[in-house]
Amino acid sequence: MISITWKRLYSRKWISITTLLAFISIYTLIPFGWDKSKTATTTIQKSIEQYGRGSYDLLVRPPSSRTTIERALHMVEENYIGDSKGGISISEWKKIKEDPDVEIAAPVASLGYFRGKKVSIEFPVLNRPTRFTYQFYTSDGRKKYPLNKEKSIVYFERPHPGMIQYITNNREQQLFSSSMSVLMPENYYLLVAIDPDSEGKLTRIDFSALKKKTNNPILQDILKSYGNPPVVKVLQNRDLHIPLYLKLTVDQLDVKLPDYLTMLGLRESQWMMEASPEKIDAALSTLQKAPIQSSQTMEINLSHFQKPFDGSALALSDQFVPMLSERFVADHNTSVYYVASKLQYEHVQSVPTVNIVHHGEPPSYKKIEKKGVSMQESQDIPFLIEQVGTFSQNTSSRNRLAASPLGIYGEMKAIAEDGTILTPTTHPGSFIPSPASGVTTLDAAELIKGKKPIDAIRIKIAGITNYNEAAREKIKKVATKLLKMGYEVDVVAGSSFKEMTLRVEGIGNVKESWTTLGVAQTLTETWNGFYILTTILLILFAGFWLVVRFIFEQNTLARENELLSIIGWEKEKIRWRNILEQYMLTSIALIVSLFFLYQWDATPSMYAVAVLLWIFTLAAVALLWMRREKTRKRIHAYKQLASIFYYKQLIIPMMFVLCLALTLLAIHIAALGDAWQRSSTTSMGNYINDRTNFFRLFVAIVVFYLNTISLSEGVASLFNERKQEFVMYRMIGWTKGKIVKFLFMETFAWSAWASLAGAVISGTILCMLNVSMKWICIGIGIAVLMVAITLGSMIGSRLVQLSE
Amino acid sequence: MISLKNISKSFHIQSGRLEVLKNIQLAISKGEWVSIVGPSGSGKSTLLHIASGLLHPDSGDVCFNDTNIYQLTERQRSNWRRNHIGFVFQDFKLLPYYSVLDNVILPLYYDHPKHELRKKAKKLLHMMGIDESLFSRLPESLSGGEKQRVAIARALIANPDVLFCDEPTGNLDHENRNHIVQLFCQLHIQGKTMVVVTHDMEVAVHANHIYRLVNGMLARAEVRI
Repeated sequence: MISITWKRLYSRKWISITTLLAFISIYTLIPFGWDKSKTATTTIQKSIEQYGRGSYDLLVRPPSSRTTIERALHMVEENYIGDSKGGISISEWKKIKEDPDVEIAAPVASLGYFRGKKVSIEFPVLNRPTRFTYQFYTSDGRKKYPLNKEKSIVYFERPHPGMIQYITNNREQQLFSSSMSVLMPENYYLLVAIDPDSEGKLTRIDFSALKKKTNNPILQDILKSYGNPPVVKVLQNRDLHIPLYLKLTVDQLDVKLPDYLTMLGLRESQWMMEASPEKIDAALSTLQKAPIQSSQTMEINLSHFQKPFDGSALALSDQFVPMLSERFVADHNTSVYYVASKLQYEHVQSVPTVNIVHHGEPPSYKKIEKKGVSMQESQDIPFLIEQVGTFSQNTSSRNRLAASPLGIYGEMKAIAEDGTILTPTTHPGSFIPSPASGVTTLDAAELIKGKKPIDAIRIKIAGITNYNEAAREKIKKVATKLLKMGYEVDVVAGSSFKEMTLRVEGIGNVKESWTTLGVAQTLTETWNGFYILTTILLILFAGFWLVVRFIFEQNTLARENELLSIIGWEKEKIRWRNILEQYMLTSIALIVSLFFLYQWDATPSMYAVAVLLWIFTLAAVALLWMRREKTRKRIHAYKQLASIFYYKQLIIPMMFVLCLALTLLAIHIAALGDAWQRSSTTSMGNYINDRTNFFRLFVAIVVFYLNTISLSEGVASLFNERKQEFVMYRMIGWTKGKIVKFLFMETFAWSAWASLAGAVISGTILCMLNVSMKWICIGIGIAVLMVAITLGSMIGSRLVQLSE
Repeated sequence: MISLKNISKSFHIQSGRLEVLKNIQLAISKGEWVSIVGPSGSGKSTLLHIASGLLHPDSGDVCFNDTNIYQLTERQRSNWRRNHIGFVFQDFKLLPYYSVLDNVILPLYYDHPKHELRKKAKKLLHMMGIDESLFSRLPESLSGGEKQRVAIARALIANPDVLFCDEPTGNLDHENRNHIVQLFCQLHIQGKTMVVVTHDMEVAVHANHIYRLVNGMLARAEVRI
């Protein structure tokens, strides 16, 4: 029996080889496709476990603090706390901190926009009389905004050290004859209160300097003269980039000092600025008409030197290069501050839009309210700001995939339509949320904001190492507890940055990264679902394809069986011969497949899948060959679609293969595209996409290849069965065009139904999986096109063969 | 009407080339019945295929009313075959899924209005002695003789000038064979040109000329009845 079976396989060697290759493809590619799909999902899970957790897990805020836009978009605005009004007391925070499930509870309270002490920049003493016309500017990355009115200093000469003869229209500061120093403009910076211990644990930044006492002798003198007001100790953020520019025009004048001393009514030994303001203004007016010998205008970038709370004193060299100076003028008036309202978004459901609240230079996008008392106005000042140290963000340990809203130290990237990176200005009403420029203590927050100063508490849950299912459950448990206490709670673990487009008046469209909550959860669910779906589809496809293949083979063998029966073979023997043939083929295919899997370093589970598929094949062969064949024959012809109905035994399995192939392709393409697109909106998703693209592409190729071989095998079987029919068409005088037309109509009739069924099934499954309509259409469209091309090319090549 | 001049044809086989037809000359006049006999594998069917424009000869010309059919395009040759040639095969070559009637109209299916074709097909089937109750039946449910008569009706649907028959009685019993021969004789009397390839001398003898194909050479055969 084995010998005769082997001989048949050998005599039909091309058919046997083709079948063998098809089986090898099934036994190798399905385990591979499944494994790669699994690898992709494992990679995603590991990435999420590793990177899904940000620096904290829960964001707890006072009741009703969630903004309309946050509710609408399920997002958290980045660094929005710059505008908050508090709502949680220090005692409430302490209660949360004591919960054993809470590892860290780091409070944050936004105090508003404060200014530190102003220091000066000194102009150089040159050889000739010179007029310095100057103006300070800030920038939002697109445009520069003046911070003061243009002013000028006219230098005449330096008769001796300690006496510089100059006049200026700057009367807003104290002037000295020993230097030409002007104070830098007023800039306001976000000050945030924290608890140094918990914040230190959360960020790994050392904030202990906030606990130290100040011993600045100048400050002590000021405090004494103002009745010892409280000192707000501040640690300054070293990483800030504050845009500050000095526009300077230097005109060399042909003027003589004695002439102007006379004009001012002064003696030679007197300092020019001792003259009355009126006389100084008159002299400056005359100087406007003085002949200019040479002139140059320059813009000096002072951004590198600018610090929020403890400014750097500067001096310009003879070549107008800025450098640090030990000699300076300072202004300690730090007890005035501003609070700003939150940004008001309109059209939150479509494109969130932000309008200008106050048109100015720079424009303000928030309502600004001045608070505190100026030293110049009163002796009764509420506090004085004193910088006691600096801190720097530890960037190396920063997780750039997981978002932690209120990552108060990070500068947020906002990009305008033209690609310009927008930066926060030194104005409190800036559209770009500014990072915390300085931090202070909760005591200071209570002093400034009252009894409930805390705007948010960032909580890290105890006992979590990886962001896995157990971690998610624990986080959820604590979140529920806090929700019951009445707070607004957001699960920040598993969130990621998502690029948002905002429409900003005066700027245009701006892209910002906002924190999208629950990204890791969604990613895990999306890709787990995709993996399960791919596995089911691959198994279904393999099973169906094998069954269909055996039905084709049964049809091919029908005539031979009849012949063997005529010559006296028992039915059992015929059946056994047929089964043995399939067993031999599939077993050879399995051995070759196992060899290939070994060569490709397959995992044990891949071998198991291959063997299980083989066992399924054996069972399918046995069941199919054991079933009783229908003997009833039709007498009358079908009125419509006669050829399709006649060959239904071949065409119906073919329709199933086509339907399943289209379903598999459509679902794979649509689900993959949708999952990829959903993932790519967030930074974590993008990272995952980058890491898993290869695996997914591999699975897609496997799916397409399996579809192609199954369809080509089906077409080949169908054509072999009907070979004589096509020869006859030629004999009775049908042209090639007519044969093609006939075949096209016939193929279209059954393939259209199969494709429609495939499209409906895949569309329904995809809808149930919440895949977007765009991707459903793309998936089905591409699948139909691919199936049509495959089917068309198979039929075309067969027709060419027949006509030869 | 049909002339085959210097026709040669050989096929590649494993051991080299097999020369099937060697310099064949044959002229068939309008209304003639020509029978070609010869042992199995002598090239009778090959000659029939060449004569009907289905198989290119290695050399030589096949002319139909002075038109060399192998100088026609594939499309023209198909049209010529459809309009001037009718085929009858040993294994009938009926499409199993079409009814008897649809099988008959198949050659002109795309060229003529269906109702006209059906009318004509019914007439032909009646002429062939097929009962009307069989018209809607599938070929599988017919007897061998009935199948062959349906095949002849199909061959005649375009009213061809020449009828090529390849072993038309090879699969039939004695009674059915006689019936078919009678039909051929009627067609011959009606003026159809017939080219019949057969083993069966009882069929062949009705021809005006009998040729024997042996070792690739065609020769007039002497007929003894």
